[in-house]
Amino acid sequence: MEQNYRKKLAERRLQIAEDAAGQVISGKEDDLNPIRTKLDAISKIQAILPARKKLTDRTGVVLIALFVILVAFLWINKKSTNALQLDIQSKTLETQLREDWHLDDPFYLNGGLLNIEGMQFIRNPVLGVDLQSMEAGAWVQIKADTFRLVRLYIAAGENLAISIGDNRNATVVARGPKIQGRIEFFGNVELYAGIDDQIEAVYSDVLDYPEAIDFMIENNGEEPSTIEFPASEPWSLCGICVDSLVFGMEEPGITDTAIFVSSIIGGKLQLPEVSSEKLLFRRDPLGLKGIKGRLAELTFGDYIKTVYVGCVDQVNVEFKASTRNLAPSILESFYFNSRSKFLLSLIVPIWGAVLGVRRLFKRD
Amino acid sequence: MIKASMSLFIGFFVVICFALAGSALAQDIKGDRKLIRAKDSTAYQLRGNTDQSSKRYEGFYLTDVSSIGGLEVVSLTYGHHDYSFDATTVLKIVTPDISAKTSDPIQIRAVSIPTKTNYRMDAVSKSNDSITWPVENAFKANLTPDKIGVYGWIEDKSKITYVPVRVAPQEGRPPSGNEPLILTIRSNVFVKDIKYSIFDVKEKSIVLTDSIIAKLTSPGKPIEIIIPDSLSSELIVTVRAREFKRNNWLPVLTVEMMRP
Repeated sequence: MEQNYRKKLAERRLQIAEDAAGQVISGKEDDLNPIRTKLDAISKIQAILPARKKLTDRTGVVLIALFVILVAFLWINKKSTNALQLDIQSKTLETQLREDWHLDDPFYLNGGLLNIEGMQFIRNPVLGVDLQSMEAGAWVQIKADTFRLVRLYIAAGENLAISIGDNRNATVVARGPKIQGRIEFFGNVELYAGIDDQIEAVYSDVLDYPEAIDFMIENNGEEPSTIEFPASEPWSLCGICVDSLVFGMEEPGITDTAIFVSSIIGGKLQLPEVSSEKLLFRRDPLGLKGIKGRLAELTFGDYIKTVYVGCVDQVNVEFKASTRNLAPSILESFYFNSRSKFLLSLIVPIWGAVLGVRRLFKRD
Repeated sequence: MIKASMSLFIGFFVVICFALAGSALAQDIKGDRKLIRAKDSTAYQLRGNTDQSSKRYEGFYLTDVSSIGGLEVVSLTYGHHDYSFDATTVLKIVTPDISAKTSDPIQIRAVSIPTKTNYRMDAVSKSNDSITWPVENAFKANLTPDKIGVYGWIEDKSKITYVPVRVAPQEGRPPSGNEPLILTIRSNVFVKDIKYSIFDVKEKSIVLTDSIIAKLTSPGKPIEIIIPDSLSSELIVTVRAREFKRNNWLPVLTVEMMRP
């Protein structure tokens, strides 16, 4: 309504001015006083009306401010779940299983010493080994020319601390709901088995066919169970679904207390959603929070090679002596994930902004 | 100005919503393999609901194709399956009396012995009892008695113990009770140098060693081991075989068994 008044007043003013111009051209300058009075009246009315216009501009400013706040929020806040790919070589790895896992394909290990301890059951009655210890005190040490891991089941929730020794032997320290397996061996075999510090069975022979030992532990939260594999050519496990990954180890500090340091030797991490990649070097700290994915490859050789594909909430790396979360902001993720939608969507707000500015200038 | 600002705000908001929805879908990661069941009337499913003694899961199932060679138990019965059946036959599977050794339920399983047939029947019984198995579905699946293996088993935390069963038509001549105990295994690859040994748990000694069953055996062909009557009630049969193609030993098959 106000706009209509303003428009009519402007039209009326123009009309009066045209009339006055006509009078001046026809030589009637003396009759201009009434016209001047009318124009003054219109100007006074127009001075009163613009109050509503200011209110309109304020609403626009509020909306723009909200827009800026939204953009800032999306820019500052990190996206909570991000795709992550890791290819890391390290001396240790601690992980927890998110789903039950079992070995698909038996594989051979080189000869040497196999050590299994902290089990509730270790069995092969044919070899005189039939150990049962509810306190998880059963152990077996086997020296053989060849080993073959034929069965391994690890239950969801099991925590595994894996490390590689200086002589390439992998050690798995396990705590959790259940771990069960069978390992075969043959060639020159020397076996000792027992419970706690008691030797219960001794066996030695030269076998041209495989013998097997079964082992099992359930609900070991207190004392961990250990499987120390013989040093071997690189061997791999795959398809383990995990919900944590820690690349760290304890080292003696300057004083007597141990310090926790990164066990990373090298590798890279990728955030495919934002096409971001970071190389990692020896001792680079890496903190991963909210892991939910799969170990596509876990290879044991001179070091542990971890290939992880999945999601993560936070990727904390060291950056200029402080910690920085590499996870993308919501806005970044939005841009990289749906670039075409993002750019297409910009047409509307940009067009709106141009139109608004144009109107602003036109009015003034 | 209002319209311009509104369009700026709404446009941006809509696109943010689209992006967040899209990313949520992309992160739905699934892993782990599952048994895949065929979806028709012959599929592995619960059958025999009305009669408790014939309640069972039975049918064809689909599973992951494995290239890994291995040996497995397919039958542990007294005597051979020297009977015939048709669509109307009901088999009776009788469990032994092992109540003095365990009170655990005895799982009963019947499997098709030829590889890649993937037909199975699972039921539960108890010591010195029986279940009935109408074999109509197995008959329609072109299975014959010689292609079916049946065994019982008990599972505890650390091991599986096999239990022998007697199988005969419900209406036919009952087994004499003097049939030999036969353990039947199969391989899913060509094997040679099949050896087995029998360990007597009570005697704590190997009572039969390294008998070669055959030079070369094809996948799915039943390999029978007759368990002597003279042995005690708790035995461990260890079977080893070399894969013909690669000449390496297949994973050892350890069969712990319990009989009255």
